[in-house]
Amino acid sequence: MSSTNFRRGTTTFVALILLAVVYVGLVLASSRWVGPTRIDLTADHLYTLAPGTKKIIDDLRRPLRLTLYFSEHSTRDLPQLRSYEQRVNEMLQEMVARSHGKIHLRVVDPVPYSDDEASAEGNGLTAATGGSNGERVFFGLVGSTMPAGSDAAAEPDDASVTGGRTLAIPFFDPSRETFLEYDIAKLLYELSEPSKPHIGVISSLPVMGNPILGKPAWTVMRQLQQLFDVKTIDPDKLKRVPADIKVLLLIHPKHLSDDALYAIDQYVLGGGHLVVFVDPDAESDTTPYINGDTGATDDHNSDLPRLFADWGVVYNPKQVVLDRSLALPIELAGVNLMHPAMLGLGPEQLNHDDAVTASLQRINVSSAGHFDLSPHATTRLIPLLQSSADAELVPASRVVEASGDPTSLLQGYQPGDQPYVIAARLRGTLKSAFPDRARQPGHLSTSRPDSEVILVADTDLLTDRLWVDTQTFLGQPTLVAIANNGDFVTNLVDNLSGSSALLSIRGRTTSQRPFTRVLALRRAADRKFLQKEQELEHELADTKQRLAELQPAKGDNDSTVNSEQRQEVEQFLKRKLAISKELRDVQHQLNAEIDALGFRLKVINIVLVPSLVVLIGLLYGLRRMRRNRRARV
Amino acid sequence: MSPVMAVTRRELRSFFVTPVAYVFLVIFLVLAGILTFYVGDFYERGQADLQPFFAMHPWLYLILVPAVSMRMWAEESKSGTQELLLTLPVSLVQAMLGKFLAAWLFVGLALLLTFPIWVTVNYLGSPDNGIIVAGYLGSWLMAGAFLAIGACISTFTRSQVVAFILTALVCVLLILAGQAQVMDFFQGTLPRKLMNAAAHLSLLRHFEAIARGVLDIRDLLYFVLTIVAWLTAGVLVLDLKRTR
Repeated sequence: MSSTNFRRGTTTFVALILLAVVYVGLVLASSRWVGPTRIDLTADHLYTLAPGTKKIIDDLRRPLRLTLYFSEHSTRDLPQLRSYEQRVNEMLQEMVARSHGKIHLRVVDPVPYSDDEASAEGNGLTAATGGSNGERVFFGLVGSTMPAGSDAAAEPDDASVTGGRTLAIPFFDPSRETFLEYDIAKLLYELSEPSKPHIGVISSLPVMGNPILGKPAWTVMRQLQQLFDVKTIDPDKLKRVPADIKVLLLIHPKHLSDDALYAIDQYVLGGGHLVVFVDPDAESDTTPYINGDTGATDDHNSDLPRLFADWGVVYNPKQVVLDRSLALPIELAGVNLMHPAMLGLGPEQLNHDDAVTASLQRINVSSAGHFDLSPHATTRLIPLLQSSADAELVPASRVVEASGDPTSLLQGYQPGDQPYVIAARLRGTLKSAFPDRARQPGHLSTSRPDSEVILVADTDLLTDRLWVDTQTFLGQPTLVAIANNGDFVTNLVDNLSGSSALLSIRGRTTSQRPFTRVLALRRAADRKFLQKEQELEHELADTKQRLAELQPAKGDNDSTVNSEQRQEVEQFLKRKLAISKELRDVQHQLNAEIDALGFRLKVINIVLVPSLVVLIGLLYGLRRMRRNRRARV
Repeated sequence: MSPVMAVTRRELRSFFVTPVAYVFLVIFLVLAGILTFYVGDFYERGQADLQPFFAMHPWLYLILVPAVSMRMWAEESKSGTQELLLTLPVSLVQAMLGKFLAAWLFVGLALLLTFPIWVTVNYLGSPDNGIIVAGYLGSWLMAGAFLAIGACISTFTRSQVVAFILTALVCVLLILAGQAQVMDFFQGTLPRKLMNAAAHLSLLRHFEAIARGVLDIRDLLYFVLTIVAWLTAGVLVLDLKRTR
């Protein structure tokens, strides 16, 4: 008996050991060999290959080689980065599987002082610090074209010898995870295209930066330069837009000569694609408001009146759209407030039926104008970006004057109860604005039907401050998009230049999902505060006026006047102090509303349901007690 | 009715006959709320997602799941009902499965009762509810893994206290296996392959992967394997005890 027990115990022990081994083996095996089969529950399908990606892969014109450089050794104590590397690797593998052999993927660990490390740096990857023992961390992707028919398994050729191209994603920042698919698909797309489309830029703003002064181009332009061959065009010498320009960006047009306008006019009528950015108040325009030499004035606004008139476009360069519902929060002198001229256009303000804006979530604009059609226009205006219906129009000068006190723009606010069009497609048959040049050779009087011009009534949306944030990861500065302004511009140019494959991938960011109810409370608080402030300021002004009225009476009975005046002055000062206190109380009370909401939610979540559970338990217990007592009787 | 279902129903009912279930639910809900709002700073951070809520679940389960599992078999052994149970026409596998399912459903009920936080986040903003669904599912799977570990360990001992402590200890190890600080501490002494294997065995790593909103078959497989392995181990121990 005892020997039997001993043998069974041994058997159980061996079985347990075997079970542990099998368990560990299965877990490790499944993580390595089970393919990435998954269900993506995210609202934007962040982890599923987008149709655009599939199209790009299906349309690849030649074999591509991808090399993922990842410092396996240096990242052994960086689990977040290793986890993200698995994700990147899986996406690359899915793309490879989709390509049916056209994409070849290699994963390399560039250990310190190895040829692989030199190769990684040589191909444009950037190393981050923070690895084990201070080692550098590489985590980037190099893509290169391969000659047609070459053996995919062969050693990598020297790209310069074979005439291939090499492009890189310097570093996969985990905070850019929502753009992962786009970044890789863009790399594939760029490698696959024989050459970059040519686009032209005419701008009175320094969008291309200044190499002499060391100023970089605006981020939106640098993004365009990755996809397109961007040429700067000097409007002063412009007589004809080159035929190879697929898209022309006209940014902040001011004082263009007739020759330049005519060139643009004919470019559009000839089928060229034009994107116009005008602005009633371009905050990045550094032209002095008054020229010291000539005395000429400059309002920092831009317009295209001659062309707009013939296209049927109504645009007032002296009018700015305010929208208190879409006002962006800013910090001014340490105070948080909402700026009614700085707007965050959300999903409801973007046209989701248009390929350019369909997948975008948010566009930030500042002191924007708006477009309309004239009553006699034969063209159509298809909105891309709009304000909400809670918007009104004010003179641009008022917005400039209110730069120190943006909430003053809410005084006398009267919404027009209609959304204003901030960006749109102008579509139809366009007429030349220069009928007087009809006799010039090659002159075009009208465009083909369904010709198109993109109109945008803001230039500030191009500036970094409205959509780019700089963050640091492992000592590496990284630009992070907080809005889709860059995507909007790139989508426009892509759309107009005929490449639509990347559209469905872009703008899948959902990183910003604020508490909209709290934001609404804050806006209401700002409104109440302003109203109270105005009332109290009126009272203060009245008191001040009554004090002033006492001055002329000085000539009479001096002692009485002095006494009365002194009382009024004391009264005035007391009232002023009281008003300041009341304003602070109003502010405190409005903050308290937001805090009160938080408190109520905490009570509901922490106290209410547990209390219900206690109550149910007590009722159940009482019922059982009663039943037991009856049974006993 | 199948024996598994019969055991499940009996076990579920036994939870609610005594105040233990209600005490557990109250503690679970209060702690979940406090951790979410005060440790996770849910309201003040102003973001419409439940990341602060789910990030606390591994630690919440660490304390509360052993309290559920410790009485599965330890009490049976102590009060003598184990002998009675093992003489009934119910196989060990069925008994183990029934007890486990009852406990898992009970913890699932606790999870469902946190629905006010889901209502709250939808009231305050527009969260990605797909990610929240994945978070709840991942949380329940993790609870199942913890319960399976607890069920197995409670077969080792007659003492509920010992069962609680051992279960909590094993769960801590599985949580810490994927933590950066722990990996850093051991990096100098353990081979890299062993470190990577430990990370793959970490509960936290697979839970976090699901909570991002993606149900990957490998993460699901990990949890299923973990539950099956620990329950099987428990059955083996019970089988050994039955012979004595």
